[in-house]
Amino acid sequence: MNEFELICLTIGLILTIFSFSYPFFGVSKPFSFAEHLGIGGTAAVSILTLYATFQGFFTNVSKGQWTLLIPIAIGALSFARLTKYKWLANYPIAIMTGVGMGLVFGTTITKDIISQIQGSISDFSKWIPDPISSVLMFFTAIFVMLYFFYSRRISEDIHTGRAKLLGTIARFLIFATLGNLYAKVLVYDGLDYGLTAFLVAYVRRSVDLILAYFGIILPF
Amino acid sequence: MGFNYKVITRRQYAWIMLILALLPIFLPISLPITIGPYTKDFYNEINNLKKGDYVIYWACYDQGHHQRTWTLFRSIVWQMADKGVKIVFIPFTPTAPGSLRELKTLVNLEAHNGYKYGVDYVMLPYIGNDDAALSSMGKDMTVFQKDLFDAPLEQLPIMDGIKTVANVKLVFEYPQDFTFPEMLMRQWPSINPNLRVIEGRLYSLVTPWYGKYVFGALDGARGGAEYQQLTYPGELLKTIQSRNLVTLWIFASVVLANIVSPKKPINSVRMP
Repeated sequence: MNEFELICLTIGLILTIFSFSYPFFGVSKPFSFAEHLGIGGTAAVSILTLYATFQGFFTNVSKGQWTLLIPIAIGALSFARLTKYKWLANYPIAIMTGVGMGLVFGTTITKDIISQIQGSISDFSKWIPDPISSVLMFFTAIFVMLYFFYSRRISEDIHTGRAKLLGTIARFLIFATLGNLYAKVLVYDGLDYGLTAFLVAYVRRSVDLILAYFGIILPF
Repeated sequence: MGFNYKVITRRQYAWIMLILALLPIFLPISLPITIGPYTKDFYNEINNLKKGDYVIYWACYDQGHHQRTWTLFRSIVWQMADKGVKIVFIPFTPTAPGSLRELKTLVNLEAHNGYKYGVDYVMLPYIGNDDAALSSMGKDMTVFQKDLFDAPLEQLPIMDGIKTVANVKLVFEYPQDFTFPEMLMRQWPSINPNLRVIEGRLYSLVTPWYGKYVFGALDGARGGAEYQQLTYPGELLKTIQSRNLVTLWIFASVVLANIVSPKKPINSVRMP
């Protein structure tokens, strides 16, 4: 590592710590400084990327790839919002929304609905991972889904009628699930990956590299 | 209810959390960690190896996993090297060769216990085509022809003792997703029915084969930390120690808050 890299690493470490101070200390001068620097840098990189993209576009069009003009024209319509022909900007939005929904819808049906149903029934029928857990998971899925029916004819019995016990059981199962999810988010996502992994990967490693430049190796 | 500013301010609470999170990362604070059964199995599988046994280090992970977990890989490779086994590194994703080159420098087996490249360990190149590649290398290791650094395999003495996967005592795998263990189980048990595998990433990836072909697993970051507690400390152990200390503080502060904060009788709270 040379001096320039050392300086960049040190500045990067300081800015990272400034940015990370937000969850603990809220908005502060160091955080604002790092945030504004980050936004400004991102904007600059975006403009440079756009410039490089357009350079590539003109090169490819000049080589005969005329079909590239179609997406460029559609994207350029977005800027019509800044003119008196605002209605033209609806076309690119409609196309992007339609394509996005089409891509997501097909995979969502398979991934989030059909495969989940298949998995629940399959695990229950094979008693995976064990009989008690598989029965608990299966009936939790059924009860909780029934609890969230928003039809008066079906859910009236579950919440206030003859099947009120079912609704009560479903509510406690939801409490247990949410408690588990909260603990998981707090411990795994918040602490493991959010806090401690950040401190190890970005702070400790950077400190190790900086100290190694001066010949200091931490014993631990 | 709510934050009691007479006892501690929010800023003080945040400082305590930050200091407690940083302490285990820079200082060796050894909080007790219970070692799980799968981690013990993993450790014992490597411990039961004998000098001269062949082990395959099957690297089927991407650069992201390597960056996050290289200290775990170092601990595993060092424990294997301490047993005097021959280690064959096989990359199985397009980015794994680069990770292995970096791992060679990070692990530095030459400095650790005098291992020699080509004699005690070797790194082979990446061959694509998933199942077909796995099947062909399992049946005949000469399919590689050269190692990761373009040296012909005939010049490497370590390759004299490993012709097929049947010559291998143990396979260590760290897969980036569930498809890799499935691939392994489809191909290699037919070549070596006595295959023994240890899993480095998640127990859930190998549950169907545990006890049959898989005889140890490190379950997530916690499993890695348990293993580093048993062998060589690294970043995973620091991460878990830090997490445990912060979680203890959260639990302690919740308990203290319920003791210290003034209590209001439930009946005194008027509902709107």
